[in-house]
Amino acid sequence: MKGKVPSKRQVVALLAAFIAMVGMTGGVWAQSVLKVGNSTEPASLDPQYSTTGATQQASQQIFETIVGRDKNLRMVPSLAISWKEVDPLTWELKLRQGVKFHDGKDFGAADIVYSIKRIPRVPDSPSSYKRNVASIKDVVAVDNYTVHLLLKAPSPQLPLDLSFVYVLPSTTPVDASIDDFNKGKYVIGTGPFKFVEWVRGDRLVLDKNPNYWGKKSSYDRVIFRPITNDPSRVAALLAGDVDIIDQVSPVDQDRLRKDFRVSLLSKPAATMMYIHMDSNRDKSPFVAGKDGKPLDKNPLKDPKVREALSLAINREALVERVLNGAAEPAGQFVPEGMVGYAPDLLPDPYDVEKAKKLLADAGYPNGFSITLHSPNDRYLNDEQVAQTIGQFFARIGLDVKVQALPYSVFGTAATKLEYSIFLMGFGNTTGDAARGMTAVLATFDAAAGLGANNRGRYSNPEFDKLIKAAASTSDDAKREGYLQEAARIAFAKDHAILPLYFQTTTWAVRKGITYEPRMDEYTLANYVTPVK
Amino acid sequence: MAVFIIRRLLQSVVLVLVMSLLVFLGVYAIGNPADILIAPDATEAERAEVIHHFGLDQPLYAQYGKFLANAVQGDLGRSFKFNESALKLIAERIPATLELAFASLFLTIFLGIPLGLYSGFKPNSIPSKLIMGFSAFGFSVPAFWLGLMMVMVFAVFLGWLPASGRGQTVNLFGIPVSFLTWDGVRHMILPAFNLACFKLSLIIRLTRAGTQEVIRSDYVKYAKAKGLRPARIILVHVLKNTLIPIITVLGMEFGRTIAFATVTETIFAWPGMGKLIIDSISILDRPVIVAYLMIIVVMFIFINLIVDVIYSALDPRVRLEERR
Repeated sequence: MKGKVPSKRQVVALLAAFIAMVGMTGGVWAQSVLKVGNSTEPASLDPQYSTTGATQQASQQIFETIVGRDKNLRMVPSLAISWKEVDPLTWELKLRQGVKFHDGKDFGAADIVYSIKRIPRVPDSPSSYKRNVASIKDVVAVDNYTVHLLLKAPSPQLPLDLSFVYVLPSTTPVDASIDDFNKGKYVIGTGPFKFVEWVRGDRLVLDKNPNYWGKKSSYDRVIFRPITNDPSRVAALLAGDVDIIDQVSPVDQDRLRKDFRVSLLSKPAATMMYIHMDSNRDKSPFVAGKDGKPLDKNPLKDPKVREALSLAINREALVERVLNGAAEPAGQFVPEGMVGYAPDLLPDPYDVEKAKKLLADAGYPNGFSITLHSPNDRYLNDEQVAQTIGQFFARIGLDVKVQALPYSVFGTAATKLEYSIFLMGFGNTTGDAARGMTAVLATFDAAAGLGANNRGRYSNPEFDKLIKAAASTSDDAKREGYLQEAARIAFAKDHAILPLYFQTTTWAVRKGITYEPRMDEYTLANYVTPVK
Repeated sequence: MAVFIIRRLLQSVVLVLVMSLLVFLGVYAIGNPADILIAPDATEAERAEVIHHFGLDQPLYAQYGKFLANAVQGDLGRSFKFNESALKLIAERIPATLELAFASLFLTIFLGIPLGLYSGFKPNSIPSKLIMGFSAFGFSVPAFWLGLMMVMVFAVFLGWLPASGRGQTVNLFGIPVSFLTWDGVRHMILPAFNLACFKLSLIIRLTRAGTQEVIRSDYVKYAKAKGLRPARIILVHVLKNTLIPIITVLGMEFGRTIAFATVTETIFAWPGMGKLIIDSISILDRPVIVAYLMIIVVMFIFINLIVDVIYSALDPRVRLEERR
């Protein structure tokens, strides 16, 4: 038998090599790593650069805002533990003690002053945070843990605005460029994670901050991988390349529900989908008689017609069939739980007979013809929803053509008022109805920044009065009252827009971990926990 | 030859200028970047400020003029969305795309040509029929579907390969590359195959057709009669003569692969240029779109030039100078 017994020296050498290898990798094995598959990636690591959700999702892991928001978007203490109005033009913030930045520096009033003052100076941001500090005239540090904000005019929404101000150390150079940030140079925050590495398009790597004052991460390291394509993201989860993914589409949800390797977690999101109508102009470009000839007046100006259109839509069926149950029918701007929700405003029932009768009463017994426009790449199943709505309208006697376009074309055209009736969405990221109702339903006033999304030019002075009253009172109960009253006018009385549904956001996780879903759709890695 | 190259380069400058003008007009015709980028509830004053800052309030010819003035100094503009130099954004992602493109080229050449040659020599054998079947499949199936199928089979069911992403990278002359690590190669296999599929099928068929034609020619019969080794006949006489159409196709396809690897890059979350361009188009990030397309034009011209030079090396009948 020709065997070769290794000599003693060879055995020792092999053993040494083996031990060295284990030793080297041993350090890596001891570290627990969470891999997150994201549908988006940040535009920059400068937390004050862009307000888009994609960028904030990254900022939220590393930095913190002055006022925090919980998973239902309600305000909670964060770096500021209390805030109160001392007089209408002065607010006092008390700050949290014992917080350290990732580089060891103590957090204090100077950092708040610096962060607020830096925002207007961040260059070239297309979606800047300036508006959130616009009402602040000056910031004064009274002592190391107390700050006074001096305002230009009373601003009851100040705490809400402060929940969008991310805090940077006051030692950050004023001329730090966006390039420096993206390389990680000044990415130093107080949040649950520390910056390690960012390769754009590939991965964002963060390490646990062991000194974090809040909920500490259960993992030593987190890797965020942007996988924008839906099926690829699901495949990555199933293959075990990532442990949690966000924005699971309804189609994938069905499949994943049956898979024992993963669990689904959902929460209603802030996005409300609606039908917007040209209720202002006498002649509207995409409304005509059934014979194609223009009508003497625009039927969409008549509230009865708008109500008829709303009654024609079977919201339950829409949600169940077209969205696979991944939504909730809507009757107003915000879902239950958000400020301004009126419990008596329910989604319109499905009533074809009543709809036809209303149309006849309004003078259109045989209906008329419209073209319904819609984006096709911006919202979940947007094109399919538009097609379905078109069919609902056809059932009450209208001739409907549906046109779906990429948002880059659709958005511009809709803003230029080129459409008559279209599908649109609005993200209620502030947790209350005021921002949405002001942007979409208030009378359009470019100078005051009102009605920026009011592409149908709906205008009701009573409604405007209520919105204004809500914006100027700091009494929360009164404010909510005004918002509810305004909602009743806009929806129950005028049917200014037709709310369709609130999207729900769904996450999918591998067995063995769980996550607390949030209304702002962020995946906060320190809330991902192992399940026994 | 030198004159030829210089003339080509001059023509390319004209081409690049025309391309930049077309893109400018095209983006302007689609929509207004301001509507997409600016937060919907910005006040009028904020909107005006952003529009003014990006120069979108100037008349189109003024914007184009400014762009040209900056371009000759090497500045192709800053991305509206990222506020970084457009060239820098693209340059960051080029190595990933190039790596994938070269990997797919490698597969195409070293898999496609031998298979095609074999199939050409023994057209009626069973392996040959299998090869032809595979190639028909390869260029009729959409890359999107094929990519997803490969991920499902190899990553999810079998678990042999990763589902997406780029593997570990090491720096080669300062450029991060992933083919030098085993982890990197594992990540590259599926996307490279996906990208190569169409080209592979095309090349197999072209090579087979070319081979069958060349075999019947007189000089090959003569070489056989003379008693040359089969290997020499195949490699020197047959291959060289079938290569010209193949090189043409490879050149064109290679350019297209680099420029439009978008589908593969999206499915496999590969951090390359294709993904950047599709995202930029959806948000009308004009500086990035313009910079990207100009770079692509230059690249295509360069590839065509190389292809022409290779022609003259392969086929003595082709001369690149002026014909009198």
